[in-house]
Amino acid sequence: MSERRRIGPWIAGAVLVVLAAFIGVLATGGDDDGVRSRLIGRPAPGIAGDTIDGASYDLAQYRGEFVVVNFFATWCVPCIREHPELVEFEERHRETGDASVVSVVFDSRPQQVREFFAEYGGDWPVVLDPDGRTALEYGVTGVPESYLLAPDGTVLIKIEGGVTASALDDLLEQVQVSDVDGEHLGDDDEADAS
Amino acid sequence: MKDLSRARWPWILLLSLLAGALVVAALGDSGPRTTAERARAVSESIACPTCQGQSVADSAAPSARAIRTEVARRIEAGETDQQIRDHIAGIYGDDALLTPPRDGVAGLIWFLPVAGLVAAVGGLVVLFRRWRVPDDVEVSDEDRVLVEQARRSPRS
Amino acid sequence: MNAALGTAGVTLGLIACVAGAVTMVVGLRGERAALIRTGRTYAFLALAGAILATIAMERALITRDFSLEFVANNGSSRTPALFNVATMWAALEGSILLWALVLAGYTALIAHKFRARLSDPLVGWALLTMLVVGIFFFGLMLGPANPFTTVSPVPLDGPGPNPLLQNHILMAFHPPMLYLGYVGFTVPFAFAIAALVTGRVGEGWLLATRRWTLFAWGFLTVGIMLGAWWSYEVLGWGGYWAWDPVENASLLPWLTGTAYLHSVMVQERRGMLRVWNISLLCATFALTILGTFLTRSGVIDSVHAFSESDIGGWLLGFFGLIVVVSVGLVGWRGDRLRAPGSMDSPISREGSFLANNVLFAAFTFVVLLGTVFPLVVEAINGEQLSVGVPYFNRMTMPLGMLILFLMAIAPVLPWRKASQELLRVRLFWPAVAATVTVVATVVAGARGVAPVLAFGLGAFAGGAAIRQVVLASRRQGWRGVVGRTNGGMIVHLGVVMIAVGLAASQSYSSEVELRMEEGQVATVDGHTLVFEGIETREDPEKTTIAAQVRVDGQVYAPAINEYVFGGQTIGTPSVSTGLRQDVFLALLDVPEEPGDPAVIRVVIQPLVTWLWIGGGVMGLGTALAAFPGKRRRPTQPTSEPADVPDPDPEPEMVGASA
Repeated sequence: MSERRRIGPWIAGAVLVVLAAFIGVLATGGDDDGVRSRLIGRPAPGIAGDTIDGASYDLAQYRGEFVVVNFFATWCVPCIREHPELVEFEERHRETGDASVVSVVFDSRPQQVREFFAEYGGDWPVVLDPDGRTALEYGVTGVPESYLLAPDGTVLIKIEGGVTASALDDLLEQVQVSDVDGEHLGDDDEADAS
Repeated sequence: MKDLSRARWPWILLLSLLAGALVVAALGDSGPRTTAERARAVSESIACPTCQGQSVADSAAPSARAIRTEVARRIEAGETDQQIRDHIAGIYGDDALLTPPRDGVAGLIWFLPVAGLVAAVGGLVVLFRRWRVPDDVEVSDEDRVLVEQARRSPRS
Repeated sequence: MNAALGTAGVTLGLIACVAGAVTMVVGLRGERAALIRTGRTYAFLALAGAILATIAMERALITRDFSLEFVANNGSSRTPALFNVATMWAALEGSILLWALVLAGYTALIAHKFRARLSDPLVGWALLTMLVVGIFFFGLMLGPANPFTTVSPVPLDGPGPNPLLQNHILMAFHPPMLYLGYVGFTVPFAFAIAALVTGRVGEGWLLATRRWTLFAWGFLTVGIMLGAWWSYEVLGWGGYWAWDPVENASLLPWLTGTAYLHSVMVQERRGMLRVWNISLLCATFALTILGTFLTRSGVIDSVHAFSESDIGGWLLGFFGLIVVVSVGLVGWRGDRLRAPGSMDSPISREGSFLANNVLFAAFTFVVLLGTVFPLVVEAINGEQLSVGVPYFNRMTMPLGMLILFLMAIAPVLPWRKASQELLRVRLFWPAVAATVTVVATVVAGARGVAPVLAFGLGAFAGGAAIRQVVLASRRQGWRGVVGRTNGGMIVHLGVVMIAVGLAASQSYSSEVELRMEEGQVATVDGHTLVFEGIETREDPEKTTIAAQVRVDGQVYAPAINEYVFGGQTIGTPSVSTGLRQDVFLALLDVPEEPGDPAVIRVVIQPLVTWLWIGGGVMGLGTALAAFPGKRRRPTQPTSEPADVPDPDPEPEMVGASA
């Protein structure tokens, strides 16, 4: 009996230790460790299709300049918030010709998209993605989501949440100064998901 | 009727009927064969990227529909289920797969419950062994008197 | 005004709990009976505070007082009246308020029910424990989850609750039911703690809380089933259970609570398993808090993540406190808890309860492990992975089958020891029922071992349950369906219905996505579907685009709702319900231009309705089980059988049961 009595505190102690570790895991877990994408450093999946204006678009024709690929939806509030920033960025670089913007429609009807652009401005190709194939190939997990492509067509960085014109410019500058280093850039990214 | 349930042969009959029916049920179960069935099975094991907690098969979200279409297209193209899963995991990351891997640390999720159950059943077996009353305990007349008294006293 | 009223209520509740707890501690330490008796007043004051706060919140929601941040964030002038009331539990702060209200209600009930025994240290400590839990929840409402913070400038309108939460009438009932169950487990937990503290670890506290536990369990059961029904009717994918963290959070305490309800009978009868029973109650309560943490802290992704906040640290801390107190007390009292006695044979009622507990413990472990495993792995090696439906189904299905098997065997087993022959006699007709069911389903075309086996085991378990009820009714008339044993068998019948419904709907469902133009006819699994066109309705809070689909002659209208605020789009499925099978319709895509096709998802699932019927039967059985059955004489030794067991049932009668 004395042998059995000694077991009690040991079991209680073991249970406590396990649960303490468990609580520790819960207390530290859940913080997002930044934006991951398998695409970084690899050639960007192609984008080809009709735009909302009825023209056709092919990403392949935009080699030689930076391209911001922006996935957005008309019903998404952060998309509305980031839109003026995209407009500012696009207008600035249309003159210099070193970067362009293409938007890919995510789960929104063409008519809604036309109204969206009429209301918030912006004059760049807006590609329809009716069966979601493009979003799938980029691995989009939410909108807004943007990808910065290098002039050689590789993906430099993935930005979840809204972008700002100045942050995009900073990125361009860094890439132009240093060599292309997507991994490094990934850490500098400040995705604004609010 | 009473004799029926006491005899052995009705039980043998029941068990053989049961076994036969189960064998038929097992043989008839072809598993997912058609493209649609396979697509459904694969989709059930892929997490919808835009709607947390649901599988691609269960979600009405456009991203889930796109993946469903892609899965069906790749099945038509002759890829195996695992190739399709790997392809999707290659795009969205390993956490796009709802079935945890069976190796490495992650394999513990399959192993731990089974080990726990086996340990618990083993513990119970040991306990019952320990509890087993030795057969050679004889009830003495003295015991019987005590029991009789105990049973009677509250009623009187 | 509402803010002031609500804050006053919360503050009153907190002060009452703190004052009550202090009073009880002082009274219990000094053994001052008069002081302890005043503790009752504080319990009532806390309830008054909670009611006041709830009234203030509901008043704010109904009168659309957008000066309250909670109303500004979750209410809206466009929300229909009923959902205004239900908006209280559509977000975090309001659900904490609901929790506090239910908790204060239970505390006051305890104080009232046990008023004559308040100076009994066991009851005193139990009341103290409940007041301490009350301090935590009222404290939350003055800290990180304050429902009565004001906002300035006052917005003109709010977004309304998450559209998913204002879509169905069940939303008004599912959370309160769930909370009545969740919070109800505080009562047996409090008595368990009291038993540990006072050292009176015998069976007295068990008997005192028996019915409370039963009611809590019944509410939790019905709450979970209503939740499943709600998902089925609202979420638009034809499923009812996704092993989502929130669903798991409600299932975990249910599993440990179910294990407790069974194992407690061993303690009552044989005085054994004391440590185990107390641990189960502590685990049940701890799991309710852990579940709330998992779902409210945002640590785990979930479809149900309707609200997140920084409340996580508080809940985790409270969970830690419960664990430390419970494990510490059990370790401290371990010597007293050690019960004498032993079991004679594994083939006995108590043996089957032990097996039940092993299975339910394993079930709990699987669900808990699957829920938190991604966090654990990430902490160990940084790997990202998901655990979803395939894992849970694979792991829990064998356990469910074993539980069904046990449900057939256990009710016919006598206490202490059973002979093989007795088993053969008593199980004969249930076994006939099982065999007939298996053969019949296979002949009818059912294939696959798992579902057919589930049907057979369901018939086996159902046969055993019916046998018990029939025998008891023969002997006792209408009392044959009340009392714990007989009511329990009604609960088992409900479980069988759910098991059969699960097996059938999981294994034999079929689904298609139809692209239909107006007037087009399609045939799915023998059902004729006609797409008759689109109807659009404008409401203040949403635009509803409904497809008119005629299914076997009757029109159903699956719809897409576009909510004004935020432009969110939520589908409303429509279900043609039947006892044999459901035809579930969801509108996936509406025609852009007139003449374009609509995309309609059709899911056909057999026997789904039996899940909800089974849930109702389980609730009914719980109520019957709580009804006083045949009372024993108080002087009767507990080792004597409650009602004289049928040593040899009449054959014709048994025949009727199968």
